[in-house]
Amino acid sequence: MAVLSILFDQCGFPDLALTAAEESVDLDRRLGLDELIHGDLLNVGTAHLNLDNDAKADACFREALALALARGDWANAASASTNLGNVLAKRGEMTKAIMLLQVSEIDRYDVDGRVRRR
Amino acid sequence: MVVSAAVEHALGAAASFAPAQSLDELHLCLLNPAVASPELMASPFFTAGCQALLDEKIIVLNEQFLLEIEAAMRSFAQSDSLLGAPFLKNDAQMFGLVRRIDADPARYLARLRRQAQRETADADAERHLQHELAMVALFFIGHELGHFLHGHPSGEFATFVDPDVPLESRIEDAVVKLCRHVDEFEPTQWANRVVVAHLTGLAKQDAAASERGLYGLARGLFVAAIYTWYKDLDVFARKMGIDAIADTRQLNTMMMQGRERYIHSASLFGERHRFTWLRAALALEVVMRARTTWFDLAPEARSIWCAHSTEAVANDPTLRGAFWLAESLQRYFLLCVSMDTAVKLATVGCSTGWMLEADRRRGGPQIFIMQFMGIDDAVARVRQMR
Repeated sequence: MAVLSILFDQCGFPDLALTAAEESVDLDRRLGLDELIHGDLLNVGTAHLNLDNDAKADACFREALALALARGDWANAASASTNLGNVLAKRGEMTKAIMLLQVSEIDRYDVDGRVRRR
Repeated sequence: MVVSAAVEHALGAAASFAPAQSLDELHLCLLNPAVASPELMASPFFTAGCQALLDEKIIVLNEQFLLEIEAAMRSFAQSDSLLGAPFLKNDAQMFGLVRRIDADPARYLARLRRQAQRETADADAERHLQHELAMVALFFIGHELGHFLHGHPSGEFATFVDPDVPLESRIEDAVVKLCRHVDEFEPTQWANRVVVAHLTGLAKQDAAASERGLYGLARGLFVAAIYTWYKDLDVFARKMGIDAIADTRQLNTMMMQGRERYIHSASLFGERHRFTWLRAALALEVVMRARTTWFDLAPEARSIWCAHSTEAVANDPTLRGAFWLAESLQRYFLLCVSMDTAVKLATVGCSTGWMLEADRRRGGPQIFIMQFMGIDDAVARVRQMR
């Protein structure tokens, strides 16, 4: 479902992308696949952003960021932080947006899966 | 359940409309084509949309028609704002939505309804959507009620281009059919009166609910109008030889290929007063004039945009009325602007008889190109409004 969501998004169907992404999150929760939830939440947030549902996108990215940080998944945390920065920039909150974008820039996976600061 | 509940709600509102109480008897029949017998489908009781049968004192409403409208409404409702809806990005998106629903309406709708059953789904959003559907049903039922109250000989709202019936080809009939739409401006717009009466009654109990009701009407009618128009245009294009029309540029080319094409376009406008787009725009203006002071403001004081950010509106319930009105106005003006295509088709259709005569006198036809406006162009124009 997550792949389908990305495909719909890339083909310009955010409404279908949203349905598929939401179902993939539901599926993760039902099957106890906690390690996948934050990644799929990013797809839900992206679909919301493409539908101009900024408040809903904001909520999705915040939840994804919190879950990714809790699991130490820095790559998805960086994605969530970047996306959240974009939402804030769109809203005109530039200082917070720059801060979030800088955080996503310096946080990177190293070869051992740990944060590498540059 | 969703559709029958909406119809029941609408019927209750229509029944409380004071003039309707003068009727001795009135029944509403919800016709489900999926289970209807062939005899019923071939009988005068069948309608593709909604119709009044005066002798039988019955209003017949096609359930399939409302189910399709519901699917379109749910699709549009995925975006919190009108201009965030992906279907308004270009004509291809709108035709895509029509074909997606048309391919298997029941499955597509079931998928959309499933979203409302999710644990994290917004219960208010679902309640509002069902109310919007009820407002649309009230509008259609109110129109048919007008046939009983005004004694019109017959009525049938929102029938569509039938894929199995030949397109209009008689010039005289097409001109009469197209000109008849002037009748849409007649003062006895019962559907509007029923809706205004309903919202006025609601305001006496809860002003915010009435404001929300108007917004719901605008959302529902907008979708019903745009969906049925694109659906008809899709069928029309297919009958003219274009398998899957993508945008108005194709329509430009299609229509310039012969004078008779404008005669055929009369089929888009129904036999009597069925053009949902025009009626929806007229209704929205009448209802907004009756229920808001926006049209009374000085032109420089009017704006179709909400002065508050979406975050502010989400956090402060007192700002929601302004947001609802702005979103309703945007829908109304988008309907008005994008009626351009229908107006061009109808106007040229009406003039085709004279144009053919001029061709004959000239000794040959001239190339005639009409530029139709895409939904993206219409949205761009609305964005430029103050």
